[in-house]
Amino acid sequence: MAPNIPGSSPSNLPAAGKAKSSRGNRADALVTLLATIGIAVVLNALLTQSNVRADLTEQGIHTLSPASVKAATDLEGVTITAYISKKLPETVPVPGGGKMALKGIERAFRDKLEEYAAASGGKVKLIYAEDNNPGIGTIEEQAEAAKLEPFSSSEAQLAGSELKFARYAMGATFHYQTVHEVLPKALQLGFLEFEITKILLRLKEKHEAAQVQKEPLAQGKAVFEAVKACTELVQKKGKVEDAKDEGAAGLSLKGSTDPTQKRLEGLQAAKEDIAKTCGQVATALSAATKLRGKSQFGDQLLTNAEQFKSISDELLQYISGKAEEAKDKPKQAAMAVTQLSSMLEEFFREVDRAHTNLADSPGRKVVGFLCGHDEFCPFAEQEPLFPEQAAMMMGQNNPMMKQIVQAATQIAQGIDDTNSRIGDNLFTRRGYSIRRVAADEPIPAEISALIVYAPRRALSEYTSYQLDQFLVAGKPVVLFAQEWDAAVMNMAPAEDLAQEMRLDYTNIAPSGSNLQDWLRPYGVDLKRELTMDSKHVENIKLMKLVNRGGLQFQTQQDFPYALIPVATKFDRSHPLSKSLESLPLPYPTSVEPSAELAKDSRFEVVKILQSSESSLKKTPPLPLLPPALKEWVLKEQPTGPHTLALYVRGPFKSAFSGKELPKRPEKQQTDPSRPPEKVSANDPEMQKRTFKSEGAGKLLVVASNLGIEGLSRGAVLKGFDMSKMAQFSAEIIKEYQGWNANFQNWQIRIGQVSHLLGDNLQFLTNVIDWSTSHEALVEIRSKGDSRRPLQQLQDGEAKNLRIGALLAGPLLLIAAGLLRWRLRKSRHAALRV
Amino acid sequence: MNAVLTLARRELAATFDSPIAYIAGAVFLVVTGLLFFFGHDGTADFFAAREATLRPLFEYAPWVMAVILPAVTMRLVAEEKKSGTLELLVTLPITDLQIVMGKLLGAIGFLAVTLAATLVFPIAVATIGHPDLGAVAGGYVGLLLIGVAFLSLGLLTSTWTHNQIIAFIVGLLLCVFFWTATDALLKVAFDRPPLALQLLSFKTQFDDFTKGVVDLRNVVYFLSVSAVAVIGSVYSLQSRHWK
Repeated sequence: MAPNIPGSSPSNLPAAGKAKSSRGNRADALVTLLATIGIAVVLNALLTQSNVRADLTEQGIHTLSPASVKAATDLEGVTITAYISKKLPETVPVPGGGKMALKGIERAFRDKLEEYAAASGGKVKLIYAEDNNPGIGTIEEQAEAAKLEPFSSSEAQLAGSELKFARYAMGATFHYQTVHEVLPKALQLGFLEFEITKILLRLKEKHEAAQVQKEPLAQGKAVFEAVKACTELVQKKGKVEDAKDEGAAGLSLKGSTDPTQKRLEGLQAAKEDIAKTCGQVATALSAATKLRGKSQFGDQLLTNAEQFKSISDELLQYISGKAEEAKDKPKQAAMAVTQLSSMLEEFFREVDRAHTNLADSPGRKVVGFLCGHDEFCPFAEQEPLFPEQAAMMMGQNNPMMKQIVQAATQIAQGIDDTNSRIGDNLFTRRGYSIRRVAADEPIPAEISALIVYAPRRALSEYTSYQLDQFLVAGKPVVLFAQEWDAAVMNMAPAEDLAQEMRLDYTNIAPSGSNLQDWLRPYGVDLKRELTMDSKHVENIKLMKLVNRGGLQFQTQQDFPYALIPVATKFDRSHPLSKSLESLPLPYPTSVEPSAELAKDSRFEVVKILQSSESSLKKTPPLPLLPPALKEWVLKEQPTGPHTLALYVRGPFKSAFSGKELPKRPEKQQTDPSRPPEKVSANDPEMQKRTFKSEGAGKLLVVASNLGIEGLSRGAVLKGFDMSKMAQFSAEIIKEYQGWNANFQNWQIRIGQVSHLLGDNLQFLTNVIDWSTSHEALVEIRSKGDSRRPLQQLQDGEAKNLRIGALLAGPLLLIAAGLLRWRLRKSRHAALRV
Repeated sequence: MNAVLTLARRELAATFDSPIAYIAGAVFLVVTGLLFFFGHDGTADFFAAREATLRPLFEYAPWVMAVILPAVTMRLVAEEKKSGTLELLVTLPITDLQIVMGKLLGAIGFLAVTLAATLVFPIAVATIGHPDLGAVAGGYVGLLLIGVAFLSLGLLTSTWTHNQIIAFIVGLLLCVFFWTATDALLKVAFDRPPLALQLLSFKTQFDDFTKGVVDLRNVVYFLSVSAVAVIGSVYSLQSRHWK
């Protein structure tokens, strides 16, 4: 053992010790110790660049999946530029007021990027943006320019005499050929692999699609560049400098003190330049023939650019003094120019946004959400609740009515805002392209997959037919079913006007969905009984009134809830359930394949999610309050497992085969003053419709809304009727109170299952990825955040388990000690003998 | 090597012949168990969190180890010095390094037995859920490595003094310092601790193990600390010849 270490010589050899002076020994020891420390430091420092590790987790959570490795090796010549601030804060604020610690996040991010670069075999090049390079600014400035999302720390820092929140960056840009993508913020460690692989896959799709759409994209870029050049020139020439800087850039004229006048004079001085540069917008617009009518974003870009052009034309009129309204009125002209300049900037921003979307659109798949049946529809309504004129008329004679109209409008606005926020935050910002599919309208051709999310009103024959055709055409249809409307401790709807609202309304009623009927022809049996469980359940959060010192407080309490069973059985062959460990499903029913479908070998039938053996099915009425329900469920005989999500793939036959094709219903107008919109007998959509009898379709049915309840005007403003509103009555006030309660009840119900929404939204986004053929992403995301729940323990079980585990170790140790003591004692006794 | 193993066996036997091993072991298991089930302030409830994870165990066990392990190592050399048996030991045909390694291995034996007794927690969790066994294994590898580092530091302090209490207190301070190097102590001294000092923290180096990742950098770090402490202990023993 280390014979060279001076201290390692046998201690009983006195000659060795005495040969050296004590000072020499001390010096030797010090040198060896310092050398050891030095070696340790160097070794550790050298290893900071290494990435040798073993991932022991069952699903290899911290190792790149084969899909990620493939994504990295599929592209030749990707450059990743990482932007990482030199000093990151300890915590960053998170929505809802909390803080997220950033400890170790930088190292994990670097490791992950390096893992991709290493896995690509040299195809992915990784570079780190450097700080304070001359001319390119700090890392944070570079990140901002590269369209990353810099973030602030939780704590402000003192900068001079001011408290400032410093800005930090941690993200990357990915370049491949002519396309690029951005990872704006890499703070979610669990999903880093998902995000990076998603970007790599997207780069590939985008590049391929961009090759096909080269011309329209180039035309869109030309329009954008022309608009940008015009805006920049107008900004530059119309810039009003401070008095001190006058004359420096020649942008302001001496003698004028009024900034609007100064701007006008500056622009007038450069009117020829402006006319020439802004004239390019018209040229680019007229050349954009391949862009028009080809895509939503292309049309948006052109519309905004056309509006931009008309404003710039008007501006030129004022600058050149040709505007009739301002002839010989310099003050008015100056004001108009200021206004038009700011409008120009506004439209430039719109053009910029549309161009960004257009440049990003190639290869992006569009997912449709069916709307119009009180389902989850993450979009604002397209029409106002009250047409402007009607609202004014209704409030004219009755101030009370005016108030109700205003309040109802506010509720409708609240619903719209909430839905658009949900759509934006959950989908658009995460890179999904989603589109509203209106009821009784044809499904747009651009839709790649359709989601019908828990409708609570029946689908019309026409909509059913549209879905049928979408399915048999081989496109994925995903249905989330909500067969019951459950209210547990909700706001009680007002029974009379004098009554105060209470928080004890508990009720369950069938929803008005007809998904069961729609599914039957395809061999899928959506059951109406509710599925519940006694052991594998999640909690519900209920508000409770607590009396403390004579004062009543509202507190929230968690109750294990049998009507939120946790799916515990998963088919590991399906990407959606391959890596799942659990999924709580509020108020689910169940779904089974019919006997014929199960036997039909042409169909692939997969029971994706199943409840546990301890689950059972019952049709209401049943006790809904958690303790009573628990007691009730324990008395019932378990009948599980039950299928909670079913996937069927195969050559579906149209349910409308041999039937007369349903006609498109007439569109109802909310504005009573306008006649209903008639659908012409020569409806072009009807004309071009070709009947598809069979095709290989993908159908996924989930027997729950995952706790994500739709917020819609129909569900909140129940009984809303414009004609009734025109005549004021006490009934309307009562109805209005009901609307208020409905809106609050939606919030209450979402709050009751808010703790489940994180996991369930992951499942929803997985479903979207799966439906748009990004199955590899599903697997990667699932492994990033797979919760492993404990089963529900009955009273006393947890206590016994806890005591058992606490005492078992020490008791074992003591027992071993006693045994050892006894053995020693008997050995000593034997020796004595 | 044989000499080291013989000495290690002797040390381990001596440890388990004394009640201190059982007291320290039982205290470790009970305190770790309480922290695992109730959290550090008694308000957390493992069963209420409803998640089949051993993370709380790996979060709290190093704290308890930082206190308990110096109590185990305090006697290793200090007691021998005080009772004079160290002189007897050094007359044997073994090197100081072998003495130190033997004593350390004996203490590691105690650590292994105690850690094995904590397996009741994953077993209890596995009866009512499906914890990620890979992550559990990673956590245990981490606990073993951090435990070895604590023992080495404790052994080092035990070589510095005749007094077991002083050895314990200094060992405890060293272990706690290394465990929370950035999180508590350095915060007082630095607005933002330098990266090198952050990496000095056992906690930073231990994090990956709790996720189920055994990273060479972390393994080498703990082994480096242990190696430096072992070499330090050898020279500390050698210092008796320097007077």
